[in-house]
Amino acid sequence: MYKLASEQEFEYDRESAVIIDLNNGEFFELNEVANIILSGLIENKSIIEIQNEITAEYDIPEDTVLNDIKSFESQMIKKGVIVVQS
Amino acid sequence: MNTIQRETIRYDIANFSINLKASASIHSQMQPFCYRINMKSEKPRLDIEIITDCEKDGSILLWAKIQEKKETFNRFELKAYNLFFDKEFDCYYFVGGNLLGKYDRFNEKAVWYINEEKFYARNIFHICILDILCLSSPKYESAFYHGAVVSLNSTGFMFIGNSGSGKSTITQKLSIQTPCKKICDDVFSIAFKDTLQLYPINSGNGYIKNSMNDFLNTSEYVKLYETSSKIYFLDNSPKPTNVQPKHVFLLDRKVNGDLDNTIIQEIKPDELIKLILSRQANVPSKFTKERYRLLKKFCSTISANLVVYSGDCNINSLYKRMCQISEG
Repeated sequence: MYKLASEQEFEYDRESAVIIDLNNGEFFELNEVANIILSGLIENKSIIEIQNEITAEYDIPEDTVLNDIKSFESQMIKKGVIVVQS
Repeated sequence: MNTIQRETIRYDIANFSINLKASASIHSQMQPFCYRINMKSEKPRLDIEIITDCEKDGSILLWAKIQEKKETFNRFELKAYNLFFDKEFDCYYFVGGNLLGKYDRFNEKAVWYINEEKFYARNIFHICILDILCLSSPKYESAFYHGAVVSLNSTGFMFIGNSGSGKSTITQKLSIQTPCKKICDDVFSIAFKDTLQLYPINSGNGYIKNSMNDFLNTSEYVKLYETSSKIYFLDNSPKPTNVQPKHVFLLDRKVNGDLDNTIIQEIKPDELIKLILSRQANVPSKFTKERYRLLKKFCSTISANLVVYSGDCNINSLYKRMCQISEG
């Protein structure tokens, strides 16, 4: 269960797939798959749900998708973009 | 001998006005907001302090205080990406070359410590005025962008690109070789009302040198600083334009590539946001979110092309595209 870090720190525009770090002005550009994953994590979808959503749209092996989701999830936590919802 | 000069310039931008007040204590010849400072012999250190404040009528008050200290000077280059946030002191710091700046976002107070051998008027203008305006203006539904503008039949065409991407050169060529009129070639402001309103910010613009003699012979402009290719000057009476901003050309100049090969590509609005973000200094402030919101609004209102070229940009291709857009 994740939520976007404080609104004072990050602005996430899922329409344009952009995350702006309000602390330093840097912005991260998300590709379509990354955008699906981040939206899914914030909307409290399970990893399997996100995986299904991606495999339904893209011709990518399930294992690869699963690994990508987990890898992206840890990157977002590491960068402080998402935090575990209490 | 030190001199103290004070000057107030009022910029009418959209439905609000900004008073720019300078209070400067400097060593040698200085005109208000014309930072032609000869410091080669003394090599003092300047502390520039900019304080912004909001007046009762909603206008922003900015004033710059320049103080001289005897220190060794070195060249500096201001780079926005060198800005970092100090959580402990809740301040932003600039570090670039030999420049150290501190921006206190909550008190909207900024202090830059600059060591430089030669003072560049444009740099100071950007530091003292534009950076602060960029940070503060979104709360008044107005945003500043680094870019050039030409008009064709009252349609505004904006050129956005990184330094060296050819904004000045292309707008200059368009104004000479085609019926396009150059509006500005460095900074413009967009006021977000029912329609977008464009305001050229002429102070500190860099114009291609040889074309500027006529401008500089009038009393409306004051020459600030001169390099081998550009003259930076101040417009003493900034005015809004009746140019309707309609289209952005994002310039992507390739260092290596086929000469005379200019490709003009369509850009979708969501791609445009990212492309503009990557070509603007994204200095954070408490209005960063507002600035982003205005950028989205801007991108959803205008059309855009990516112009990829190497060598010289093909002005004819560009003008042809502009005619198509202008004619609707």
